[in-house]
Amino acid sequence: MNTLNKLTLAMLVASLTACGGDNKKNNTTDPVVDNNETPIVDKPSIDQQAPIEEAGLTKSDIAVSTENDWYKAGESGITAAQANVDAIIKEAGAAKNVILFVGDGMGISTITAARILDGQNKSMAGEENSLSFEAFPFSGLAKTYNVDAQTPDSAGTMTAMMSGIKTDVGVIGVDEDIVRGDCSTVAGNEVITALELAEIAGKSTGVISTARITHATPAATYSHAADRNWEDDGDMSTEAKDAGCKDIAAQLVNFESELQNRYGVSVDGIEVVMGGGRRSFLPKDASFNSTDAVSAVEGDRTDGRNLVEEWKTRYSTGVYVMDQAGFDAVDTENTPRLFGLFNESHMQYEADRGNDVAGEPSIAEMTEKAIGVLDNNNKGFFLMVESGRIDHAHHAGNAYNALNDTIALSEAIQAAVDNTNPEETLIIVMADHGHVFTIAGYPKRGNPILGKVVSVGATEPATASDGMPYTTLGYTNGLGFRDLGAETDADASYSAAADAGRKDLTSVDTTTPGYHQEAMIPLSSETHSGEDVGIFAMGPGSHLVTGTNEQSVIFHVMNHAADLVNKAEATAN
Amino acid sequence: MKKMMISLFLICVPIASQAVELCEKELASTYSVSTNNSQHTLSIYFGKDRVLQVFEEKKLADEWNQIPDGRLKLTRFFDQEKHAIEYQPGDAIDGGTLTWDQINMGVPSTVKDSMALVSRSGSGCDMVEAFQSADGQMKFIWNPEKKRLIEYQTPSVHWKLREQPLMTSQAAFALRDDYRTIDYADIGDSEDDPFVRKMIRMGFVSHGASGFYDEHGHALDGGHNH
Repeated sequence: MNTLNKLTLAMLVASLTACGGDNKKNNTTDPVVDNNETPIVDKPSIDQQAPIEEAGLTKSDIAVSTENDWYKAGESGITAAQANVDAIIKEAGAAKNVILFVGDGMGISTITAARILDGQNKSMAGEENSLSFEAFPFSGLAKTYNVDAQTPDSAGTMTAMMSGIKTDVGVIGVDEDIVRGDCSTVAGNEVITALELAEIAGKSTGVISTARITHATPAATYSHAADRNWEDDGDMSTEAKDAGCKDIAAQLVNFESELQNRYGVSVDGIEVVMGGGRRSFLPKDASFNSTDAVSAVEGDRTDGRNLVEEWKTRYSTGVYVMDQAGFDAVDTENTPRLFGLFNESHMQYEADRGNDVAGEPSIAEMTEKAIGVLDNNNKGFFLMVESGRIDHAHHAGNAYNALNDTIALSEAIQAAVDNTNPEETLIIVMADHGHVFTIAGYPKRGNPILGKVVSVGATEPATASDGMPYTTLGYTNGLGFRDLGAETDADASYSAAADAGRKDLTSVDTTTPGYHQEAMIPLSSETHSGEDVGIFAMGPGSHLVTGTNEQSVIFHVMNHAADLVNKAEATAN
Repeated sequence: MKKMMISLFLICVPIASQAVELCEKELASTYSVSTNNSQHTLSIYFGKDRVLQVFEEKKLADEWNQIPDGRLKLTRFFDQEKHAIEYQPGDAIDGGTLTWDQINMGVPSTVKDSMALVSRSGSGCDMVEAFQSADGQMKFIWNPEKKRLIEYQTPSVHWKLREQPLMTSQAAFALRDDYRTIDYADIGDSEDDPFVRKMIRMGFVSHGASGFYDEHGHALDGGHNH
């Protein structure tokens, strides 16, 4: 604390003390009385009153504070927080339903920037806005490192969240005894996931992702693989296939029998699967192309299997959809099972969805539709929803799409809140890892979050020591500057080599969809970060989300809330 | 009369279709491309709804698909590493300047618009047209029925169709069929892949001066630095 601040504080304390002394003598409503009479007060608790009394103050002495809107809002927040603690259902097994939302790569700075952008889109200054899940009553932090990596990847982190077991980078649903890429090390090291437990317990289950449904995050809910890249058999080595390992797409379609064989239980399979990644389910033969294929040969499977047809045969009452029209036609009350593969590879960025050939649903639409199908089961459901492309936009160094996909995720979470009973549904929102994405400089309140820094009291962009303006948002590493104007596909940036360092942005509109922020270290792809990520929770058991946790604790929160292990054991026996 | 016209139409349609089909058959083309300071080979191969351009010296090949809404989709093959990277339709690779016409021929047919037709020989599928600029420095010779470039010359570049392509289109596509392919969007999550690690160190290679030229004969490199 500098000298000036110390002096100011001393004067403030002295002044308050003096005022307090005066008021103590003259104010008849002063709670501090000398005649042992019961004080007449505005019913604050003794605990609340004591510090003020001890300081010799009355509320009117600090009215500048207590009548301030920020102060009152904080006071109300505390009251609400206390009520939340009192009201939360803490008993194990109270949650009939569990929904886990994962914003892939949605670190703290991404949430902050998306909150501001969302607010500014609503004509607010922005900073005061809250995304839907920021209103959840409980939150905490998660340490994201993998067993063998300081900065993690989605495979290891999602395995931790889904199974309670941290593992190596790049592997899916197996513990750290695995050797990545070595099929022979898989057997015996498979870990059971929350989705599998829910399935055994008789709940309905669902998996949604805006990435390929065989991508690391969704794959860690239902599969077990020595390499996250084993999305279809064409991605696997001959050795791995000969050794009996199954690709991730095949594991998804065969989930029911795989789980039954592994644990000797009776299950009915995953009820809802929606996302991208059709290529891993179709043979590498143009005659199997879907109507909206964008490649000459859409499928990647070299074993000739058409897994979409296998799914349809196995679940004859189920509905398979591959475009917006098919999706819209699904009647959730009369659809026992839903399989949606809306894109050959990843689904589109939310801002780019209009460019999809056959049209595809938003993540909010998918969430609502999934809940409509899953909640037909009286035993409840487990649903995992991933916004997978926040991560891709960051890798491409494009904040616009990362933030807009975060806002889309927020809308999906709100859809979940609106379509479930909070007394029986645990909803957890978190990221698997962060990115090297920063909010920096000293922009004034309400400055466009995608814009250049304009200092408090100024109207023109501030300049750095090099005389050039700079943006609030930036990346520590990656491709760096791109000015692609109205381009809404973040991946378009990859067409050129990294161009890191400072650029003259004087005449560049940095708020356009195609603007890619400057980066310091040139890499052909921006990287994950190793920092903690936020966890947000509501519903039964959500009070357990607090403090700084190993990421693997998330499984235990879900397990406590829905009593998954015990219910699965009871059902299996 | 009407009946006769319909009969004629029914007879003519298959013949016309057959003629188009014949003109489009076996259209693999290999060019010797010379610039002021380099010489290289570019082959263009055709499949159903796909065009493959092979830059022999660079050991790179680009497959282009035109999707129903008209956007172009690129898959880039790295022949030495036997890897491929797949772009999303419409990605602004090469600055978004390429057209389907240019992808099919290497040089856009619009370059002839500023030149005069100086000769026409042959007929049907064998027709050849030659165009030349007023100052005689640029010439463009093509088969308009097959949309096949035969020769293109400017002061800075000279394209010349070789008599035989290096291989058939079928072989050129089959050669690259089993390459490991990843999405460009997945590069950030693929740093365990030695190929991707190399790409991250080296940056991405585009056509540079070896591939495409605008209507003024200038090399299109999308403004990229490599």
